[in-house]
Amino acid sequence: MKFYIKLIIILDILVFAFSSCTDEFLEKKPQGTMTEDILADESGIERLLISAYGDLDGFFGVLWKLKNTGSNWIYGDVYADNSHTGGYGLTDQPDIITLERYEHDGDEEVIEAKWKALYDGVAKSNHVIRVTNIALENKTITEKEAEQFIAEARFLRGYYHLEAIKTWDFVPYVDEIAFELLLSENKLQVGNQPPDKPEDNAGYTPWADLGGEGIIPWEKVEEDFSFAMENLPETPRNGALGRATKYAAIGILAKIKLFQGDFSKTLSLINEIIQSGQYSLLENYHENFRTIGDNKSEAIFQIQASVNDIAEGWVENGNLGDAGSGFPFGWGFNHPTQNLVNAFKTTDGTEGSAIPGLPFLPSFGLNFNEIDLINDDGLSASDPFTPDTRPLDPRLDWTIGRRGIPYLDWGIHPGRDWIRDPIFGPYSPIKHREHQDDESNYAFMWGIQATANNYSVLRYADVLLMAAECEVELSEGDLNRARDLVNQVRNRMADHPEYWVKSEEGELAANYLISLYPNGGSSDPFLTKEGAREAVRFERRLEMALEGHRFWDLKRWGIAKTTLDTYLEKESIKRTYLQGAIFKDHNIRHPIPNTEIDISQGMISQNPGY
Amino acid sequence: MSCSKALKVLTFIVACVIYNSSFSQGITITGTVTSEDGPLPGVNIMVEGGTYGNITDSDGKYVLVSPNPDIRLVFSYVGYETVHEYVGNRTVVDIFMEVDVSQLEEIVVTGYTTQAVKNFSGAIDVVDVESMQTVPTSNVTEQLQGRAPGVTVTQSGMPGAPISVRIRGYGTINQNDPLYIIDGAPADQYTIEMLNPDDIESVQVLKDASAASIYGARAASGVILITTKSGKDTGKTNFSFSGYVGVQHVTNLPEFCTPEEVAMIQKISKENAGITLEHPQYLLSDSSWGLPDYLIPAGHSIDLDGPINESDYVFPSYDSAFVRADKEGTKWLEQIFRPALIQNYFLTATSGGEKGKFAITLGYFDQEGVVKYNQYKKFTFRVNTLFNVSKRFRIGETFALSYHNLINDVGMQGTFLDANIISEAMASADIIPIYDVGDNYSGNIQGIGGSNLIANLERSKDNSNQYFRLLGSFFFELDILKDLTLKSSLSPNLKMTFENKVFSPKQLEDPDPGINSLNQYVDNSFNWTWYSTLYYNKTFSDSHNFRALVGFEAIEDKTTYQFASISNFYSDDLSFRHLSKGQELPQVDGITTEWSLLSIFAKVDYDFRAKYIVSATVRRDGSSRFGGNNKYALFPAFSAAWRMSAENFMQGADALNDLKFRIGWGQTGNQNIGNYRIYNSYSTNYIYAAYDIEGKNNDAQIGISPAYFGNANTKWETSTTLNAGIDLAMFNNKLTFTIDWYDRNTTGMLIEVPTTALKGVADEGYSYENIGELNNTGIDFSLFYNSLQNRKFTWSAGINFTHYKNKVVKLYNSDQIYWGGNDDWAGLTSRPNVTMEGYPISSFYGLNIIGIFQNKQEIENSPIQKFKYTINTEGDTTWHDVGRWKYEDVNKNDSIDYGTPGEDDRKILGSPHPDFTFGLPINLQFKGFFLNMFWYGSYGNEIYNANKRTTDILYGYWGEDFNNGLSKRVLNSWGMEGVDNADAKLPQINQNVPDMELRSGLSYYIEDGSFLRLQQLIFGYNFNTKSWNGVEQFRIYLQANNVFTITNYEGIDPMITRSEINNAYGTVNDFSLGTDLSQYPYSRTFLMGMNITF
Repeated sequence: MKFYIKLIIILDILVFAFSSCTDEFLEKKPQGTMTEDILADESGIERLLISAYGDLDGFFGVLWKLKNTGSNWIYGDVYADNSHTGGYGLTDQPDIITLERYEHDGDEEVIEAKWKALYDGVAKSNHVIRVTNIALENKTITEKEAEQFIAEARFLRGYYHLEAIKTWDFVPYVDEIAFELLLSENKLQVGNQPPDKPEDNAGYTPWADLGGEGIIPWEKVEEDFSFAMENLPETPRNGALGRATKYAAIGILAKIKLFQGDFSKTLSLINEIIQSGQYSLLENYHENFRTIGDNKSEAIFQIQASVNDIAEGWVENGNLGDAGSGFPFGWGFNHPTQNLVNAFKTTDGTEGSAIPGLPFLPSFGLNFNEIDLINDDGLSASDPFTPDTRPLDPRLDWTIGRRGIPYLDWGIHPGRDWIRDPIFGPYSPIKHREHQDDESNYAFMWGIQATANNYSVLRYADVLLMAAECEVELSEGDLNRARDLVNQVRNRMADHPEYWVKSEEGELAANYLISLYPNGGSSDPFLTKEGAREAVRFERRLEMALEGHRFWDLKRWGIAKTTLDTYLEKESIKRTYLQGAIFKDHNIRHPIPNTEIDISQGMISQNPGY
Repeated sequence: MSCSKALKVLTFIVACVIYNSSFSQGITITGTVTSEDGPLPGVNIMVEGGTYGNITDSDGKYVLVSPNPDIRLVFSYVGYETVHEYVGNRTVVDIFMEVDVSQLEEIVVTGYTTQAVKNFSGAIDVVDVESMQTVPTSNVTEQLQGRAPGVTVTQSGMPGAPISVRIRGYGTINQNDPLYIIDGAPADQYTIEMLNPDDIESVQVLKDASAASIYGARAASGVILITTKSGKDTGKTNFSFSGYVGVQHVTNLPEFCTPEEVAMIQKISKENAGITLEHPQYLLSDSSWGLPDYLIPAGHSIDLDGPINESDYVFPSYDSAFVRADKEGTKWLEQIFRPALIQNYFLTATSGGEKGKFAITLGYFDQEGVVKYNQYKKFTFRVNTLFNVSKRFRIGETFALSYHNLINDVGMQGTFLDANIISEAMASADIIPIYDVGDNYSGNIQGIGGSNLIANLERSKDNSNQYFRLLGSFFFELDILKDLTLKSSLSPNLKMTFENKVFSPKQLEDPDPGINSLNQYVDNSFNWTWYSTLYYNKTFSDSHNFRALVGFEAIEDKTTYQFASISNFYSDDLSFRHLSKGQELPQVDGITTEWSLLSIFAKVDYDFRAKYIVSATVRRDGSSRFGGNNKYALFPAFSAAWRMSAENFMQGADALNDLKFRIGWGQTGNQNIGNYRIYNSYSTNYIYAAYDIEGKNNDAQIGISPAYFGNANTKWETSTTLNAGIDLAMFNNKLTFTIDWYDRNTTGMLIEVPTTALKGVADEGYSYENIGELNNTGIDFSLFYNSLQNRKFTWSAGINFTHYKNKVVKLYNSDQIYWGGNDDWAGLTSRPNVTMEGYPISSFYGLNIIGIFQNKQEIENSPIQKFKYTINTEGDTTWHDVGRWKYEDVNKNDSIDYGTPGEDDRKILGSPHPDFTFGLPINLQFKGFFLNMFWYGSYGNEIYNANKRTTDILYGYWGEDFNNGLSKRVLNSWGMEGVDNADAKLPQINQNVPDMELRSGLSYYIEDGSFLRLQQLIFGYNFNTKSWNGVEQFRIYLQANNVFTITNYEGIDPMITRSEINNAYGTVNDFSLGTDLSQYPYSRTFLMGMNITF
């Protein structure tokens, strides 16, 4: 019996010992992941910040990068008159085609992808702010360090919201307080405020005139950029060229003001950038779009692209060049329009009232789109073809690939053989595509090819043209300065024929002709506000073509519908799949993804007309 | 290890055991048990109050060793009155047993304890283990098919493939695997695979909550209790050997078009599409259309118009590897299969006496797959012992070691994303022969075909998945008082998985061999369970029986996996193929997960003379998977029963032996939801979250981004079950009948809550909340008739019947759809299975085809068939043509829409859930001869036959390549010669198939899946071994499995396994039921076997 008593005692002890460490026994921390507390120090926040920057390229791991890439090729160019969807026929990316036909709704994947990419960027920026605050509380970082982290995070948060406003106008603004609720309790307490009555904002309206009851969270975004402007250093922190700077914040804030029609504020911000002397135009226009021009003097803020890096076996930190992966045509997306090509024609001195080498401006009595540049539409690669010999702006062949002209350093564009599907027309995009010579700066992994070509969110030429626009629009504006600014941009091209496209033999590849606007006379459109406005806008289209800005330019100028209707009328004869497409009033902004509206339980509502 | 070698080892071990068996001490009692019908075999003899005993042999004789004569023996046999006999100083105790209609003394294991069936008030299946074990397989769960009412088993024909067991329908949209308990220790589906089916003594299924709730948070999907064989107190050592060897064949392969017919279809499909007739191979040099003599690689350097000279053959080469066209047809699907050997050997030694008992078993199972180069081997070793340390104290252990090796895992099923070997074989062009003119494997050359499947199989013949498992328990039992027993048991469970995959491309058909490689995957899991119970059992005033159990249990589990891969080895020789020797592309991966559970439980039973029975159970579980207030959960259950047959007023009803009415209510939980769901967490991510912050072009820095959106309020899922049942036994227990009705409601089901994008994206994209509801109701019954034993002719027959009705009551909202399967491979993203509110889990979904447009008039009178994203070059978004499929306008809005919210015309097209399934055992015995049959059937379910998409529709998809294998059905397409267009099922053959017809969500693929199968037919002879010295039993038999099937299903096999889909938390769902994605077919097997006991 003694034996049993001993045994029972031992067992009792065991049970007791066991039950006293219950809580510990039932505590199993997640493995292979980290909680906020582990991250709340300088190095943790830096890493969170990197991932907040990481969303600039639009790739965040869920939906296909090309649909929401930071270059905005779909929303800026396809949605306007600069390019077509492209790809392998009409079934390739049908949702993008619905956008191009202005028939999209809140169910399109491309719309959802954009929304998710941007708000993921907002969320990641908020994570930085959140963990920075925890670190401050834990005293693992200093106030000064915290300020820098928060300034960069707010720059990014503002940027992602700005992109959302550009796409949808009436969007929710998620600050760190709303975000905290969302994260800890899954509660959505912010929404958007589109106008109650659709008619209030139906139709195209320049942002400046947006009336009705809808609220665009401009103010919140401006607060973010103002904070960034005041707290960011003039040159990138720690010399890391990808970081936001004071001038990047100023430049983007200037654009925000420009969108709202506040020309004097825009101008004063831009003058600050110009006066800083930090920025200048690159002599070689095309360097802006290839690796050697990354982070050079013209770049005010760029989305950094990287290849052959830590993401071994993946290329998602790289740039797919809008057309998609692979040489020469990639997946064949983003085919430039005939309308855009025609815009690069320059006068030969006999047309209209202009001297040779100027664009086909209406004030010269010209219509750039009346006669198409000769093209190989409908021809096979073996059919004979001679490129057009009319005078052309040399920027054309750094923007658009066309038959018979060298395509970067890949040789002469052969036409149909490099066109994946000719229903989207005979042209290929060039900006952001890879050079053969830049081999070390592109990667080919798992069948996908990407480059290290950065994408410029804001470059100095853009800023100069913005300033020119302000000078035109301000009642006390200086039209002479506007002309100077435009000429400054044109001169970079005009003054450097050594950087024009040349054949292998060193001959100019086409009949390039570009001149500056003269001061006075029948060739000077800057004598009147109207003429100056046309000249600045036309210059903007040429200089910034296929860089994802066109639609918003049309929108803020208030000419989206008229321009696009005119464009479609002629373009749909050639691109028959566009027949019947009409830009409707509500197309001035995009539909909010229906999934988001459904999930939001009343907090987020659809834009008028969708 | 070869089988003869295995046998040698086995013999040696057994020999050792014999020398050491010295348990037999004390007095030996012998005797004969008889009844009216003569000697009674199989009578259970137990020493009263003890745990040892024996059973009578075929002559009713028994031997028993007892430490002393001061004992009472208890003789029990189903249907006979139990006899308690005091031994005294006798050594021969003969007993006459009378048929007793009122006693059912069958003992069942009920979780931590055992109980007599008669006073059990929950719903339980006691499986007929002996007949179950005749199923030739390595997996116990496969043997359960049709043997237990309420249990649904789906399986694949691949040897060693995991098997899905579902008890009473599908209780959650998450993981539905039942809890397995092997000798008291919990085990998962993968551990159960390690068991040798021959080791099993008993299997019991706890079906309702009142029976299962003692297992609390793990019992919502039912509990399967398995007890392994232990020794018998016979006083001597018994050996038995059983074995079988057989051959398996694949059956019922579908018929394919000949190469000539395929070429014709190719031609017609171009003609009908208005495409210029051209094909690099079929359009011959004389401009006629036909089969070429040779298949010419694209980019060839051969003059097609000139004579082809086989001596120009070069290997390896892209353009000079000549291939002779196989005009008769290679029949790829047949080529990948072979007749395959199956063999199983099992050796047991058992003994027992006063000091204790033991059982030692050795097993070897070896099954070749019917797919070439595929094989499964299993070796098991088990020792179960019990020592009587003293009269009141016993210690013991169960210990099993097993080793499995699955060679060349070709996959049970394909997926929509990846094909498996069977779907690839269906997609291979029969004009391509296996070998080219140089007798090398043909193929993998542009213009000729993709990979050569036979080469692929040969190439992967050295791939093995090896598993080492150790499962055991160490326990003691102490009778503290006469009626109070303490038991404590510690069960370690060690799993080691080692997968070795090599790729050796050289010497095979590939002209560009690529580089050789090695992938190794190691998974180590250690799990331990410790439980202690106190059990009190006492009868007051001969009428009031009390049983009470209290206990606690702790479980901890830790799993670590590691993966490494490297390529470019100097030599293809496998002896050089080690991780240290590769040159390029090293990759590693690995993670650890842990969970733990700490519980207390109690159970109280009371019955009044086994007439009025009540029972209550409660368990409190604490789980590491939950946090805060949800860390602990309480699971109660109650049940009651009334045995009307025990009432006095029933005494006259002689034919009625037992009649019991049962009712039970209880709650059980499902905590099988993955680990760490409560935490918000972050992780490094070098792909999604990296950024080149330094602007260096090739130096992206790694970032940290959210990994999981946790939900601190996550908790277990709760199932509440109401069960009512009747047990009936009549005619001296010859007829037994048990029926149960149940209603099981699952609440708090974990649902993916769509997360607003404003929260950002985590690696795991959803938040989960306990908001779903699901309901299962059903009836299961078993009816069995067994004629009296020991007559010259005996027979028995029965039915195990299972019916359940499953309905998803509530998800996040009525629009939420869980799609089954992975994304569709052809970019046509619609998957056929949906789980949505109001319908059974995993229902089939899509457009309903109501015919084929016969003429323009019909098109004009029909709704417009438009598809949002189908737009032609003229901006037209409609598509309809004569000869194309016509769809049902479900929402009557005069247009057919696909995927447009609010206008979608897709609907539920069918259900993979049968109206009922059943197993029918029929056993006949005449003198020594016996004939056993087992029928299995399923009625009222549909099957989604995904193969039809490849073989019936996608003929136009391959452009200028050779077509895939085409079903003969294609010859009966609309517009084909001799086809009555009004009856045609397939639309006109046309290379420009509208996108819509390429989609997977169409009613064309849904078929009736009902079938009746003669699963087993066994004919054998039991030798009369009376005069054979020492031999107690000798039995030989011939057996056929999967003898024939009556079904309308057009695929290979109507018995469809689910395809396995894991979610981010590692749990497996049931969203792809009844979808035949080229399932590894279940083969027909013929075997011969024997059992001998001596």
